[in-house]
Amino acid sequence: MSNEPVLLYVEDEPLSRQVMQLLVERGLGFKHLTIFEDSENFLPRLEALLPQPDLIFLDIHLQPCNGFDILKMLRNHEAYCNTRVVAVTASVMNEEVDLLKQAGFNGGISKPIDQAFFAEFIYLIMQGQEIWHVT
Amino acid sequence: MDKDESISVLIDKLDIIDLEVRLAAQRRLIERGHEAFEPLVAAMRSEEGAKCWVAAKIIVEIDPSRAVPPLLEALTNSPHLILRQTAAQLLGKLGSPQVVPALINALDDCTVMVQLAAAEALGNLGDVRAVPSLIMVLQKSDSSTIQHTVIRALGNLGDPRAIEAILPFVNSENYHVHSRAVDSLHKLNHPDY
Repeated sequence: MSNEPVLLYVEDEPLSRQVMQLLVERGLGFKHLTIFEDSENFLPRLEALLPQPDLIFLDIHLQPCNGFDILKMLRNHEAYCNTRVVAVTASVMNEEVDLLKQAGFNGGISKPIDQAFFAEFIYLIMQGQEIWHVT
Repeated sequence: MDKDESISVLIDKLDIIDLEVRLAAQRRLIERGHEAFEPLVAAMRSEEGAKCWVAAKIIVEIDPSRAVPPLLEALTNSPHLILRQTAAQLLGKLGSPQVVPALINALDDCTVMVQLAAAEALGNLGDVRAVPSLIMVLQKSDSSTIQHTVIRALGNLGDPRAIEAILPFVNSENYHVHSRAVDSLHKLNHPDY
């Protein structure tokens, strides 16, 4: 892992995007965060990013492709099949969390994000652990 | 890491971007325990960089009850929004009823991140004094993020006064708001959910 991970967040809720930006840039001091406001043309936009993300945070209820669709695209793409992908969810349904695990996400974190745990969460995910911080 | 590394050096490492270095310093400071407590409170009050809010987290690990006054001070007075947010989140995990009034006041914080953290914390603390203020926030907000966070908090608090305020959100087009409204109404024993 590089000293500072490069992050991508795909989120359609403006406030959640604002919170993530503050947490990452002002909270953690990271400089490399890209935010997509929707999943339109996801792969071409991802491929165009420089530097390429080490870790992708995905909201699940996105348009036009949802988080499960995007994960499938990533896992079927040679360059991204091993990229760490985390679901960011406000779901209260255990069934949905089970589906996220079965789909192959590397972890999950609840909205609003727990700032006190966020640095460890990123570190552990980037170390290859599967972390579910979903409450 | 040097066993005798000074506490001030370890605190300075909390500002380093490299998470491995930062988290190692964090662990070392927790191990140093009470010896590190006051220097960490001073780092919080410095309101500089990441170290001020990471210090808040570490003092809770060292001594949760002793951490309450400096966390309340940070939540109430600090101009550093990440520190205020972290203080609200941490106070919500400490379970002390004395923190409830400050968290209710934080629902009016000028920063939405602090409002969200305060709402979440109040939901965790289980003190129904927060219900009227949370209902007011829910009724005023047009942000789906605030709505689903407050709805969950109200569901967790278990006070039936919240039912009427939550009911309209069952029809929300936002998935998270809708699902949390249904879940909270179920927790509040509404017969239809």
